[in-house]
Amino acid sequence: MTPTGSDAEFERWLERELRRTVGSVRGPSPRAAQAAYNAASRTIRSAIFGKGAAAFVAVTLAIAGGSAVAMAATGTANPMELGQRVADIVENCKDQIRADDHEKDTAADVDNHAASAARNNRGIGQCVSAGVHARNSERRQQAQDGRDGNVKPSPSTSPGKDQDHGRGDGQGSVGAPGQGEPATKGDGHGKPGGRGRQPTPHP
Amino acid sequence: MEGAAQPAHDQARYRPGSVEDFNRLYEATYDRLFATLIVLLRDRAAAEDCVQETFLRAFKAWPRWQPDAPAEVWLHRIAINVALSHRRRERLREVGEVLRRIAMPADPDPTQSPAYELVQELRALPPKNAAALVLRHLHGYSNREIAHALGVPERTIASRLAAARAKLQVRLAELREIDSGTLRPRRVPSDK
Repeated sequence: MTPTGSDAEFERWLERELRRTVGSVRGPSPRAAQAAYNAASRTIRSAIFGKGAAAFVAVTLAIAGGSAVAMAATGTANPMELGQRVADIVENCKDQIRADDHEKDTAADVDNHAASAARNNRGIGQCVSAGVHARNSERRQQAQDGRDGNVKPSPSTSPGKDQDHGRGDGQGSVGAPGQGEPATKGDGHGKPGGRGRQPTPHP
Repeated sequence: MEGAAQPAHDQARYRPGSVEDFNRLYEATYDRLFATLIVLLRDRAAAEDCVQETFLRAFKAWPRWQPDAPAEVWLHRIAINVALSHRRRERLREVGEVLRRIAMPADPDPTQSPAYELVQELRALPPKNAAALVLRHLHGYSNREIAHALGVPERTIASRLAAARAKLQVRLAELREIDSGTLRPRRVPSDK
């Protein structure tokens, strides 16, 4: 048969030649496992379930860990409440440090105002840490009391607002919590702004 | 058509998005796609690259595949588009290739042998015409399936096939005359 001839003859010749020359050609490997699409999908899967997953777990743990630390420190999982409680503890510590410095300044009368201001935040870490520990101890005690069945009524679980501010120096601040009058309640270290002096926390 | 292989009309057995089914489709159709592409492209390496590119594209679109045509026809449509893109890129590279070949002789191309005379002439046809001939006379596609694979209206397929066959017949006849010394060789344009 030649490529010349009638249309039908040519079609038959064409089919035969195509099968002989092209139809017998084989590629390197028709195995799916070696195909490019499989390699690409494996790469994507490893990206998703490998590093990506590790990163996701790391971020999750970081967030969860941070929350756990914050929750342990403040006794609540509510982020708004967490922030507020930490801020309260820090503020109380600042007040306490200022008050202590004021006592020293008055007694020694040597520090100038700038030096006093610079000292304002000194030791605040210790104070905050002690405040957190004290707060945790208090909550543990409350939980223990609850389990023992002798739950004591607590006016608030928020530190620094009701209980801490109202304690003064332990000599009886019976007024509105946090708004004691320094002249008549507490030990005279209360500020005119209304906050009584905080007790020195003990870790 | 005499004894041409029939395309696998097994789309009902393939589930879109199923990796297992796609693997089966790959193994069932790889050689047929490769055969089509080796006609449309210049060498085996290009055909292999384009087959892999075809399956890569198809795999991405596999979850959205709709069995309104056989899966193999759908793959051929992708493959032909990949091959056309490849040929366009090849043309851009040809200038540099020609300059390089002037300096050093190229490796012998097995498809330049007389056995591949038909393939050479098919490659010289417009790509879609060559694809239509391969799909019909190698794979046994119907006009409808060829139309789907080429992305053209079905009514144009019969005339396209007839024109492609006539042109190929003339070219091959000229080659015979050249071989017998009755016709001077002519330069065959690669793409039209």
